[in-house]
Amino acid sequence: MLTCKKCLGTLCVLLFTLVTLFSQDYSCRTGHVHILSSTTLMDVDADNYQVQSRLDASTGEVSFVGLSKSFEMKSGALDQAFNSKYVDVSGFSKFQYNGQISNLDAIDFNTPGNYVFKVSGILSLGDYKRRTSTNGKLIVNEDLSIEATSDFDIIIEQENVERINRILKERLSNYLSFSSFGISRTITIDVAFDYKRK
Amino acid sequence: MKLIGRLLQLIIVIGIVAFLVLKFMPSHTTKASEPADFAMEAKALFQAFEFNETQASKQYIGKSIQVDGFVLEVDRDQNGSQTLLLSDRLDGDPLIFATLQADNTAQVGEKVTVKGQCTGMLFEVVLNKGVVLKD
Repeated sequence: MLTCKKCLGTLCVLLFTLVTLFSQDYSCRTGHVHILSSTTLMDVDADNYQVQSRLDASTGEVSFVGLSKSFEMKSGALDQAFNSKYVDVSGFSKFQYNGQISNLDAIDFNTPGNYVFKVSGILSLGDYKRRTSTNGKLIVNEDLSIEATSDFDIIIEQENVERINRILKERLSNYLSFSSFGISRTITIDVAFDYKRK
Repeated sequence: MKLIGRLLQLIIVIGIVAFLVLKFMPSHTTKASEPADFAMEAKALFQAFEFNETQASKQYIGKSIQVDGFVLEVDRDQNGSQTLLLSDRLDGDPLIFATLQADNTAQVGEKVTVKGQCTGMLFEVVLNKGVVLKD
């Protein structure tokens, strides 16, 4: 009985060690998301350098999540308005992306080099969800850390543009009084992540 | 006619002022001299979000928060800004992730007080535009 327990214990330790050694989980705390939405009056041009991401190289699952209030606007006036403590982002405090790399076989995470990846997934902000597909570049460095970049355009339906602009006016109207301020139908999103193996 | 001319001049002046404000107004920053909205230990802030993220988000997001904690990691983001990972213990789990407005000499293992704008919770509670306060 004691021998069986010992064997089982040893087997568990061995399995755990093997899983850890061959784990291909990567994470990043300082991902960068840049968004650009051009209107006739002004561009909404903002950067977020606090985006966290995970990449499972064995399954191709990739996800990133960020906070709305971490965005820094290029326009100082917009930044002051958006970052006021009184601007309520509840309901839209986080954005999230969950995707899957579809050409995983074309990437060798253990060999330094440049690769092109294809990814499809769902981008969410509050209750707004959008399925996206795009390509990106992946660099495996000499130390086997990873840099990944991609970009995609989101075209928003007109009724959602009006809805978002209405929300922006409600929440920012105390700070901005331009009647035509708002986002455009096309939003360009650039992402860049520096992953380290967990 | 004179009135219309005057109104036109006023509109032009307002437009120029609005343009200058939009173009040159500085971005939001954290000022070390101003008191924080909240001051607490890193663990207390993390636990508030962990216990009820909706409630904590309403209470703390957008507010200026001063937290005390031990530095677990010093790194840089893609904009070149220094970042600090804080915990309640030297061997504790990460609780606070803070991006600093300016470089600081904080070292791993040091206990620091960081003030920044709370933007919510991801893996840890996130502070942006942080400053390290000196005693």
